[in-house]
Amino acid sequence: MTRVFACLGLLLACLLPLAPLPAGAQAQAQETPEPRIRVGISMERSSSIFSDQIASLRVFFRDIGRDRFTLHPLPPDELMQAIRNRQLDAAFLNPYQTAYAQYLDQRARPLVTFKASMPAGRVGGVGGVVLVRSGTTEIRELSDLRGRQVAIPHRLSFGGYAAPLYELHMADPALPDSLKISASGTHRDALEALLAGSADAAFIDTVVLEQLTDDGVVDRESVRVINAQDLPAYPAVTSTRLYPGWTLVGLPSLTAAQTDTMLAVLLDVRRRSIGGLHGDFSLAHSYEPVHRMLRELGLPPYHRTPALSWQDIWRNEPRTMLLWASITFVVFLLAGFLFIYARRIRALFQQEKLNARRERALRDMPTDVEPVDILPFVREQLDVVKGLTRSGFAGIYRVNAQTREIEAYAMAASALGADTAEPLDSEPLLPGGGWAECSESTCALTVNDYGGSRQQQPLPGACGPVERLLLSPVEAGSGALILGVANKSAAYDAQDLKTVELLSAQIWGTVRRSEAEAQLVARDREARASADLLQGIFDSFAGGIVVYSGAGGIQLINPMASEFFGIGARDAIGRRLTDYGWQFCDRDGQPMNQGSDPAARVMLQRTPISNLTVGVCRSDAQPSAWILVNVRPLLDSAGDIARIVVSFSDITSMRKAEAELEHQAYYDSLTGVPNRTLGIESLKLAMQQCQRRGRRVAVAYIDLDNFKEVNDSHGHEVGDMLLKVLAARMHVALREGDTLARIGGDEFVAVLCDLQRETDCLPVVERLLSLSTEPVTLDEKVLSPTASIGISFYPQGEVALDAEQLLRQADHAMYQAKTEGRNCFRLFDQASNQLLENKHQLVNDVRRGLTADEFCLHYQPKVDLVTGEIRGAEALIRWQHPERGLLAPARFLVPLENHSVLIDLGDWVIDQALRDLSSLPTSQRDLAVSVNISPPQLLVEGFAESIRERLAAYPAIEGRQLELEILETSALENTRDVAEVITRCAEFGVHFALDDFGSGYSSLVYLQALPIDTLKIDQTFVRNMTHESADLAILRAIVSLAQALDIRIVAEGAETEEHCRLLRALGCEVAQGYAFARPMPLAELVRWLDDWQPSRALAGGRVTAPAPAPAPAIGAD
Amino acid sequence: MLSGSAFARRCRITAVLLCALLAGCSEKPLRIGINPWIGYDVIPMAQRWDWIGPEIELVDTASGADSLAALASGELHAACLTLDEVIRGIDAGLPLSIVAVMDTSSGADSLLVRPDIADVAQLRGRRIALQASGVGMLMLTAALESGGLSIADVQLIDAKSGQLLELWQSGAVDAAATYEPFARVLRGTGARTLLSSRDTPELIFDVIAVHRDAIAGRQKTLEKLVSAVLRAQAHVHDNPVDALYRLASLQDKPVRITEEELRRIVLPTLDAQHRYFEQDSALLHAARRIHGLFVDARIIQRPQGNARLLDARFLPEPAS
Repeated sequence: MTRVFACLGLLLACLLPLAPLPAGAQAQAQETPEPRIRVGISMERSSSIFSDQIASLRVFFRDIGRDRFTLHPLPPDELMQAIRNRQLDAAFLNPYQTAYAQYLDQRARPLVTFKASMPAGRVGGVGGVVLVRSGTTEIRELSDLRGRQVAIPHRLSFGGYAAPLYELHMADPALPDSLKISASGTHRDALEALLAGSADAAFIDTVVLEQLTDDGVVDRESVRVINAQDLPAYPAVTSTRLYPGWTLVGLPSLTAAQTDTMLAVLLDVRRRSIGGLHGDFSLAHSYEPVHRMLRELGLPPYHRTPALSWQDIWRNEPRTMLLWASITFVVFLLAGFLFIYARRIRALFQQEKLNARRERALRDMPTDVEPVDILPFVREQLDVVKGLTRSGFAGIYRVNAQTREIEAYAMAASALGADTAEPLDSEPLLPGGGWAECSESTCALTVNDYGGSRQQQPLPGACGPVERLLLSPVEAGSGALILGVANKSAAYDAQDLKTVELLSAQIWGTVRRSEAEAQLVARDREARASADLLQGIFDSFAGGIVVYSGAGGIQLINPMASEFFGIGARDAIGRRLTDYGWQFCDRDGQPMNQGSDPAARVMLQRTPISNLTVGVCRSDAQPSAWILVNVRPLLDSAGDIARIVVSFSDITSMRKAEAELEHQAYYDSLTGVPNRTLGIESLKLAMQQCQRRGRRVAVAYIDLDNFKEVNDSHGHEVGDMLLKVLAARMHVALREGDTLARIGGDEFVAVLCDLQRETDCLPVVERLLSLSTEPVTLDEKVLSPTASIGISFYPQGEVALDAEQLLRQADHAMYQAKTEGRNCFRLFDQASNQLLENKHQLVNDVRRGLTADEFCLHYQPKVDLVTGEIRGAEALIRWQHPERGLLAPARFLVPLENHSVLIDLGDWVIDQALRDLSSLPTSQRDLAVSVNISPPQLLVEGFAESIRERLAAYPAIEGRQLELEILETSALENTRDVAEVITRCAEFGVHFALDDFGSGYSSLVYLQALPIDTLKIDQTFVRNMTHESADLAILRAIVSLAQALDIRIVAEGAETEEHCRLLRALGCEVAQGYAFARPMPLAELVRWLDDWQPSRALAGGRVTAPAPAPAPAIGAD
Repeated sequence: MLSGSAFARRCRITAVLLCALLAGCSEKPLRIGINPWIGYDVIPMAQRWDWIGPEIELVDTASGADSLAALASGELHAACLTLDEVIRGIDAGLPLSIVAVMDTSSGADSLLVRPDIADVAQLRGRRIALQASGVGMLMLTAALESGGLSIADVQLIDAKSGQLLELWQSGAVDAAATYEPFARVLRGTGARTLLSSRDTPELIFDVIAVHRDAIAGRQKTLEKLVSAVLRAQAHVHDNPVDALYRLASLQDKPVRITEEELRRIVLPTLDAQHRYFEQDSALLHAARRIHGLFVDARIIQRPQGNARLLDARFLPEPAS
C-alpha cells in the first residue's frame, strides 16, 4: 500500500500544492476568490518516496493546467478529526475511514475508487494480510492467534486492523478480544515489530507486502502468510475477504461543480499514461460490506454496549441493592409460610373430599349384581378403592392356609402391570411377605416400608415392585380373602385403612348376597326347565300316555291319548276308560275280561306289561283300532302302587297292511279267488282229508280257449273283466268246500273234494263248462268264451302222487281236450300221461345236453350245377348223446315241437355256425352258411337285433354269409310279423330261404308275402323225379314260378348224376345232396372244400361221406 | 490407570471412530452435477468456505445435456440445469423437482446474427446454429415467436458451443443462438446481438433440480445445500468485490470477463427465491411458456403439468 499512497500523493500533489492545516487552509480559502478544494489524505508511510514521486508527476498535472486543489496529508486520527470538523472538502480514505466518514455524515459520498496496477494485474479490492515470522511453527491458522501479541499500523487501518480482525471474528467471535494489539504507526513499523520479535504476528494491508518486498525492505522468505486465500485472480496475497479499496470521498462541503471537476480529472487518468502512477480510478462501490464488518466487530464509530455486571450495580447503588435484597427475603419468608398453610388447608380439603368420595362410592355401589357380572363388579370396585386410596395397585387375593398358597381373586384393571383377563396361577405364600400375617391374624396390616425391609410376596398376575402395602381381610374374622392396595405415592394412613375396610365389607356383602340369590334363581330355573322338558315330551310324544292313580282313576292323559280315545284331558281325571264305553280285546279279537284293561291287569298282577297288542273297541263291536301297549306300575315308598303309567302306540294301519299282504300272498288280485299257492295248498289239504275219509278228489284244469284273441282284439282290460266274470261264475258252479284257484293267465283249477265216486265230479264239471261258455256282455261287446277242461283224480290205486303231479295230469287231460276240439272236458288216462312224461324227460335232457356241450353241427355243401362252384353249406344239428349215441335231429326235435327249449337250441345253432365260420381257414372264410330256424324263434321279440349283435361279435363275417332257412309251418301264418323280421335282417345282409318248399303247409301266399331270397325244394320232389313223374311237372312249375318272382332255387336231395342232370335241365342252379357230399363235421368240410374240383359238379359230383338216413335239420332237413 | 490426558485422547479416538462408523452407515453423498456456468459457481464457492460438507459431492459435467444423461443413468442425484433442460428431462421421464433457483439470465443468452440481418423477420430461411438440446433453442424459439416466425421457418444447424466459431468464420451459418462466453467470442468476430435474454426477462432460469427418488433420506442434506447456495448468492450481493475475485479465481478467468458475465445474470435474493416458489410465480410462468413453445415446436412429446415441478421444502425461512 505504501506505493499506492505514494501514487495518490503524487497525483494530488500534481494537482495542488501541499498546505498546512487547519489555520493556513482557512486563510487561503478566504483569500482565494475561487476556493480551492481541500483534500485530506492519510499519512501512513515514509515521506521520502512520497516526495520523490511528487516531483516527477507535478509536471504532468501542471500541463493539464489545473491548480485548484490543496492536499492535506494528516495522521489517521487527525484526518478523521478534520473531517468531523468539516475542515476538508474531500479525502482519500481507506475503506475503514470511508465507512467512518459516512457514519459521521451521511452526505459523505465515495466518488472514485483507486485501483492500483500490479505486475500480476489490477487490484480491484483490498483486504488484510496476517503475517507471522516464517520460523514460527505454533501459528498455523487464525485460531492459533488466540492471546497473541499482534503488531498493526494503527487502529483506523483497514487491511492492517479491521479486515483481519473481522476474519478472526468469523472464525471465532471471541478471538479478536483475546489479541494483544499494539499499534506501530505504519505498516512498515508493524512488520519490523514482527521481525524484531516484539510481536507474534502483524496485520498489514494487501499489496503492501509485495511492495515492501520489491523495495527490498522485507525479505519475503522471512515472513509467512496465515489464512492465505486461494484467489489466483487477485494479484496480491490476502488473508481476508476483499472489499472496495481506497476511495476519494466527497465530503458535505464539496459542491456539485467541484465534484464534477474532480470526477472528470480522476476518471480521465485511465486514458492517460502517467509515468509513476501505478493505477487508475473507477466509480466507487458501495461500502456497505465495510459498515457491516465494523458493526459486527463493534469497532468505532460503531460500539458494542458492554455487559452490565452485578459488581457495577453494587458499586453504584449499594443502598438500593440492600433494600431489594431485604424485600426479596421477606417475600420469600411470607411465601414459605403461605406454602405451609396452604398445604395444611389442602390436606383438610382433601380429607373432606376423600370422605365425600368414599361415601359416594359406598352409596353408588350396587346392592346386588348378576352372577356373571360379579367379577367385573369386583374389578370395578377395586378400581374405586385404588382411586380412593391413590394406590398404584388394588387386588383381592385368596389365601389358602392349608396349601400355603396365594392366588388372585380379582384385580383392578392395569394394576402392577397385571393382566386381569388371564386366568392366574397361584404362588407360594411367603412368611414375612405381609399377606400370610394378615391372613393369620385376620387383622388389617399397613406396611409403608415394604420395598426396603420386607420379603416381597410374589403376587400371581401382577408384576412390579411393591413399595407400600395396605392389607385388610375382606370378611371380618376370616383370613381367606385379603384385599390389598399398594404403592400409594405417600404413606398409607388411617383414612386409607378406613376406606379399604368400609368398601371391602360392602363389596363382599354385595357379592355374597348376589351369589345366594343367583343360587336360588338357578335352582328354580333348573326345576322349571326340567318340568318344562317333561311336559314337552309328554305333550309331543307320538304315542299315547295315560297315568292312573293308585286308586285306578286317570290322573294324567297326554294329548295324543286324549285325541285317540276322544276324551278331554281335564274331564278324564278320576275316571276310567271303560267309563267312556271303551272295551279291549286280545290279539285274536277276543274281549278281555269284563272291566279289565291292561291297566287293571297290572293293578292286580303288579307286573309290567311290554308290547302287548290290544284291540280297542266300543262295547262289543269289532275292534276299531289296534294299539301296542306298555304298562309300568310305579310303587310308592311303602311298596304300594302309587301310579300306573300306560303308554301305547296306534298300530291299526300296520295291522291292516299285514292283513293285506297276507291276502296278496294267497289270493289272485284280479279275480279274488285263491292263487296258485293257495290252490296247491287247498289241493294238498283236500288230498289229506279225502285219504282219511276214504273219499276221492278231482282236479279240474280249466283253460279258456282263444283267450289270447280276446286280449289281442279287445284289449287287456276286456280280457281282465272277462276273467273276473268267469271266475265268479265258476265259483258259483262249485259246491261248498270246493276250491277255485287261478293258476295262470287264463288257467283255473277247481279242487273238487269229498267225492264218493269219480263220476260224482261230472255234474260239477259240466256246470263249470256250461257256465264258462255262456256269452258275456262286456262294454257292449258280446263275448262267447269257451273252455277246455282236463280232469285228474286222487288217489290212483297204489301210485303215489303229489299235488303237482295231479295238477300236471289234469293239465295233460286239458291238452287232450284242446287237441280234441276244445270246449269239452277230458279225463286223464295213463297212456297219454306216459307221452307227456317222456316229453318232459326229453326237454330236461336237451337242457342238460346244451350245458354239457353235447351238440355239434355238420355241414352239407350246396353246389352250383352250372359252374360247379360251392354256393354255401347248410348247418345241420347233431346230438352226441352220452347214452344213445349220435342222434339225428328227428330224434329230439320232432317230439319237442313248439316247445320253448327249441328256441334255446336254435340260438345255440346260430352261435355255433358263426363260431365255425370264423374258424375256417382264410381261403374258405367267404363260405356262406345256412341255418334252420323255427318260426316261433323268428318271432321272439328282438330276434333281428340279436342276429345283428351276434354278427357284430364276428367282424370278419359279413351278414350276407348267413342264411336263415325258415321251415314252412302254421306259425308262418303271421306273415306280416315274419316279413318285418326278414326285412330288418336284410338290412345287415342276412338272407332268408323258405325250407322244404312244397312239403307241408306250402302256400303260395308265403312266396308273395315274405321277402325271401331263396326257395329250397323239398327233397321228396327231387328224389322221386323221373322223366315222366308228376314231381317233375311240379318241379318245373316251382322253378318257373321262382324265376318269375326272381327267387333263387336250391334243390335238396340231389343224390345221383341223373338228378343233377335233370335239375340242370329244369333250370335249377344250385343243389345239395349226396350227389356231392353228405353232411360232415367241420374239419371234414374244410378238407372237402380244399379237394373240391368244380368240374366234378358237372359230372354229378362225388359222395365223400358214408350216407346215413337223410337227417332233418332243426325242424326238418 | 490412565492418566487424564490419555483418557481424553482415548475418548477422542473413540468418538472419531464412532463418527466415521456413523458416516459410513449414512446415505451416500448427494451427487450434484455442475457444468461450467457463472451462475452455478456459487456452489464451489460455498464449498471452498466449507458451507457444503462431504455429504454433498460436486461432479463436473461438460454440459446440461451431460448432467441430464447422468441423472437418467443414476450417476447423479441432482444437477444444475436450465429450466428448459428440466422440462426436457421430465419429458424424457425423469422425475425432477426444482429446489432452488441459481440465477436468471439477463443478457447471458443471446441470438447473434450477421450484421446484415436487422430484425427477426429477416431470419426466415436462414441457417441458424445452436445446440439443439440447449437453452439456445428456447432463446431462438422465443425470438422467432416475437418476429411471428416458427422453427419451421428457419434452417437449424445443430452445433456444440465449441464449434460455433469455426462455423461462423466459415460462413456456414447466418445466426447462432448461444450463451456466454461463446457469445462474446462471436461478438469479437463482428456478430451482432439481435436479441438476448434481456429481451425475455425471467424466461431463462438456471436451477437446481433433484431426482425425486434421491430426496428420500436426504432432506437435511438438501436443506444444507440450498441454504449454502443461498448464502453464497447473498455473499455475491453483499460483497460483490470479494465475490468477483472468488468467482474469477474459480473460473480461472480475468476479473473483467467474470464481471461482465455476472452483469448478464441475476442472482436471486432469499425473498426472490421464495417468490419463485409461490403459486403463479414467474418461474412457473416461464415453465409454462417454455412448455408451450416446446410443444408447439414439437421439441417435447408429452404435455406435462407443473404439479411437482417445484419443491420449496428446502428453502430456509424468509428473512422477517
